Amino acid sequence: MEGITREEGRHPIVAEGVGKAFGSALALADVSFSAGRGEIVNVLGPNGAGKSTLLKMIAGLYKPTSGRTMVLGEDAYTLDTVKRERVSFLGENYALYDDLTCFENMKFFARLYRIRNFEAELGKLLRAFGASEYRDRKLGELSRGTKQKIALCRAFMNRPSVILLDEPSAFLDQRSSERLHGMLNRLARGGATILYATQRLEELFRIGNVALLIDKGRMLRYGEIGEMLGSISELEIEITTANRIDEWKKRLVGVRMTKVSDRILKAEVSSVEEIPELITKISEAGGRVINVNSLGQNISKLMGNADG
Amino acid sequence: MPMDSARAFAVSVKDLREVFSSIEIFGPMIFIPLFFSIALPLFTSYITKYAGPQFASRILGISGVTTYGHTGLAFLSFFSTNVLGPVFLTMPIITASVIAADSFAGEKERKTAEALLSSPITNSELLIGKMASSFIPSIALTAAVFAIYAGITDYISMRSFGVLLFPNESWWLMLLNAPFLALTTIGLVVIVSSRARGVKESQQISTLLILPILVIPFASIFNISRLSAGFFIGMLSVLIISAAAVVTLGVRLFERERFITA
Repeated sequence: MEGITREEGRHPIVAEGVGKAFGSALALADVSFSAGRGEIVNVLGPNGAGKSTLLKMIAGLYKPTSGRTMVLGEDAYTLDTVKRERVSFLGENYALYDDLTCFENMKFFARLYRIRNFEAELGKLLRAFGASEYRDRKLGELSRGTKQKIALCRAFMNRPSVILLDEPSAFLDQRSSERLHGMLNRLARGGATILYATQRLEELFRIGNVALLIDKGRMLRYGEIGEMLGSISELEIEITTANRIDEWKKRLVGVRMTKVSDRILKAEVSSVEEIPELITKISEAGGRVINVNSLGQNISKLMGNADG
Repeated sequence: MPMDSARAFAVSVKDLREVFSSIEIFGPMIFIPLFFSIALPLFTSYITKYAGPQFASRILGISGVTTYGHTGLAFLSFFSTNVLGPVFLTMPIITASVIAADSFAGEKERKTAEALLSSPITNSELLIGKMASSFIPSIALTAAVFAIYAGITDYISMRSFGVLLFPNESWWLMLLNAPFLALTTIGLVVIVSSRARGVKESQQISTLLILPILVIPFASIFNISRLSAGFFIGMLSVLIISAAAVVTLGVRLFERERFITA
């Protein structure tokens, strides 16, 4: 990629023609991009696209088979411990110890990252994720969603300059996801560089403005989210309401919708901007919207457009 | 890169906390050896007392032991040192393999390895921390087992024959072998864990080491080998070399990516 500087302050994450093969299976080929200070890059792709492999290479867990990954100006695989203290990675698994309490888990990682006053930082993060009550509970006793919140606390505890998150909202409820997105936007404004892997298109509306599209190990596109979404003529969304659809649907006119179940319906909008408008219409008709999801077809359309 | 002992220490403390947080894990590991360290000397004393001098003489005859004094005392001394000693010498192997396999392969099985390996910890800090958390409890348990079995045997021999049998030269030499047996086991587990998928596969390595140790009491009973000071010193020399070799190899072969992807 032209114009990429390896200067740590300007581009804390740089990938240059990165490829990864596991034996004869090629997981990723020729991915190049750079993420600047304070930038959130959404890594978007379906299952098996190569998102996790890319993040793990940047986290220094995998060695690229071709090209190179640079983090804070150094090779990611051999990054020294002082710089690694400023990098956080949270993979698909929450990766904490079930037999230890939340506090014991955090104390362990605080020692590895040499975090002073971690208790104060942990308190703040637990409050931010609404998980203070689980501080002294064993991880194994908690729900998957709560474990994910604790894992996010672990990932943010060292106040990282580089944050690598692999589908972090997968187990979170709507409210916690919004809190996470808010926190990431704040961290980015503070100068953190964030790589956020997701297969949920709607997350692109909430965080960052740059996306990297990958599919089947190939990089399809890297650029502005708005520009990419503009290439889709019709977005399919799924709306979940707290009350039964039959109670309010009759009052809603002029909207193309298909009922999926008692509380879930499918709708089509021609642009992202139409979504808030549709939610307002549903609310006015008496529907209480609790979640809006982008359907997988949108990603396929996006991938198809990028590919073509 | 300079080693930060605080990180290695944190890994050891975390591993030990995990092991001792669940009675299901540490219960059998501690209570079964402690039970045998009490039961086997009592059983030996029972045989000495009730099986009679003829049985004792026959066993001592098979083993090629010449008795000049009391047959019962000679039997107790032979059985406690040459049979029970080597049996308890499997303790550092069993304990170290259970803890080390859980510590290394367990990180993979429980899917915690990625967070640990992406943290600012060097391979040496990680391996030293994990080796220490396997080594310390296995040696502490072995020392406890040796002390209990020697104490009970001494109590019996003092009451029955008015003499103390332990600590004798063989007992000390066996105890001296224990740390190197534990280190060899841990080194092998590190090598296997980097390539194995789960805890069970990593633990199986211990059988490779237990079998030759269990041959010792049989070799002694059937007079194939004498458990002299020379035997144990020879064994110690072999173990020091093998422990150094497998630990060095384990550290050299340890690769983060391979550890995660195997």
